[in-house]
Amino acid sequence: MKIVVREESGKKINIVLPTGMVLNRLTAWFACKAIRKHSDLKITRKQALRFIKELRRCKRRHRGWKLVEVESSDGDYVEIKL
Amino acid sequence: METLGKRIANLRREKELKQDDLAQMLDVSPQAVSKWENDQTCPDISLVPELAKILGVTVDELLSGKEALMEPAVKMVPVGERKDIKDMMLRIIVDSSDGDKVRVNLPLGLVQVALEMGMSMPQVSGNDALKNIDLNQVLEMVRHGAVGNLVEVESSDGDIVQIFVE
Repeated sequence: MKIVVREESGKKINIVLPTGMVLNRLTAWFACKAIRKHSDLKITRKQALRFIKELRRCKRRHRGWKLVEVESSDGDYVEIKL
Repeated sequence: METLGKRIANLRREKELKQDDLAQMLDVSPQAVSKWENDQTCPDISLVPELAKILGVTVDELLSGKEALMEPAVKMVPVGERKDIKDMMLRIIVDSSDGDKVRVNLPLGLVQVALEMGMSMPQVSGNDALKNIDLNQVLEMVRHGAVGNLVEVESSDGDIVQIFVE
């Protein structure tokens, strides 16, 4: 996973994280807890795991997949690539 | 290759306008129009949208000389040519009125799993303009072969949201 943050001033931050570290059983468990706490969506650990599995499959299937790209009106830019 | 000046001159003649008429409409001198048409100078960037409007073309057509592609927004793909839904991508494009741009690319396989988990559009996109859009219906349309710009919403505060499937 690669997170790119570019400020209008020219400052650039690149964060590269191994996919295995971001998408695993432990993060699925944390995500599940966080979703249950902060939204009315009741997902089970099994469902969260399935979602993580699907994310990993999508990453393999769509090479260089850009999940989110945000450009603010004041020139800041954020990109998340899986 | 046709230059911008030649394009302006040709389009002006097609509209049966004189250089003086065009100059008057754009509030510039006739000499300025003459210089554009002879490729000695280019029109000011702030005049280009108005110039394109007067000449009856889009800014893109005026600058590039290519006619805008008139592709239909939504296409129906025949059964034999349809891709596996898991290979398709759902693009959510949000252009807010204050100039923010958001692009979210979600593989349809992932959207399918998210919907089975009970997620709905606001939880996927977080944008109010898409609150009432039923993603299940979008998926159903894709299953029946529809691709392209399936949804386009313009909210009252000027945000434009598009859902594009490819």
